Amino acid sequence: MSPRPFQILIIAVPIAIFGWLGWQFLVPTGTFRVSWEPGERSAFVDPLRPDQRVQAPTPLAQPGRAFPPWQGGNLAAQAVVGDPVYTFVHPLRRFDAVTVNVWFKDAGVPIVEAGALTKPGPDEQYDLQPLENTLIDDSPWHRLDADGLVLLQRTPTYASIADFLAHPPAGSRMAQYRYDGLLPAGASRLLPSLDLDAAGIDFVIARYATPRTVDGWTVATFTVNPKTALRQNGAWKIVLSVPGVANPPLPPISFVIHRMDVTMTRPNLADTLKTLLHV
Amino acid sequence: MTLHLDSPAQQAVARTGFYASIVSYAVFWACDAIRAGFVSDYFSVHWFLLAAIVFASWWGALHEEPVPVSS
Repeated sequence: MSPRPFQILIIAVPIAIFGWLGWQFLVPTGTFRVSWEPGERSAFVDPLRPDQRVQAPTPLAQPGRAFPPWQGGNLAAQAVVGDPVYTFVHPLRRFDAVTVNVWFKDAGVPIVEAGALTKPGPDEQYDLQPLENTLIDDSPWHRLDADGLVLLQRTPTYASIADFLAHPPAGSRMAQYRYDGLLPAGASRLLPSLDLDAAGIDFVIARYATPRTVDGWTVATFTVNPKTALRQNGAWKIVLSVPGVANPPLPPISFVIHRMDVTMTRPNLADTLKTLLHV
Repeated sequence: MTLHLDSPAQQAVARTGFYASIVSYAVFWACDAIRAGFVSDYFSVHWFLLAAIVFASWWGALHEEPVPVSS
């Protein structure tokens, strides 16, 4: 038998691998997605750190969802027992926008936030964004949602958020959470320690979207701005703020993370070529 | 159907495998050095070195000269 087919195959394999790697690197579709679950080894998402603030990944009873043994087996949930925890996301090249979906179960942590490191050093800063705020979600007050904003009213007074912003009450009567617009002086910051009744607060304005629920897990989204997020050794440091969690036996406050889906976007290959060729 | 390669054909395959592995190792290593993670984000470049060693061993085994029998 002629050796030619074997020789062609042997030469074709590395060429095909190179082509596949080039395809991965160029991201011709403009979208690169990577999912990470606790226990999984990934070149793009590191395990949660520090080790003292997370428990070992535990199995999840999800048939057909197991990782192969060399990736840790069926490990897909990890309890966070200290605050904060962080991970590093390694982009394989430059991207214009990054969206991260975090799958978790929160029992008792009132405000969960996540974001990327924007300034290093002793006074390091993070672009923290809300993942879940049970102070808002569990509030019995009347609620309005519009354009990523939430308005809570002790008694229904305003018909819309636009109406509220156009004719706001006195600042002393309102609290805000992650609201970046102008408000009357004296508005309080919505914190777990803030007693709304004692402070005489009747309105809460917030830039917040209630996370959705998928298969029993809370799924919340935050973004990483590659222009402002600091890259350290080629990676973005992502912090997860879960104030109040503690080591067992101190339940019922607990926070379990199940998964992170990172979506990175950039112009697709056609747009990149158009830009390069000035078409 | 059985695949049978005579010794010269096996040598040709082993030689091709060796050279392809060595060239691939050099090219992929260089790509990974130029753009960190280009290869190593997905697998180790050293798999090509292992393939080169395997093909070289095969090729070398086919080259073995018969040991002369002393009278």
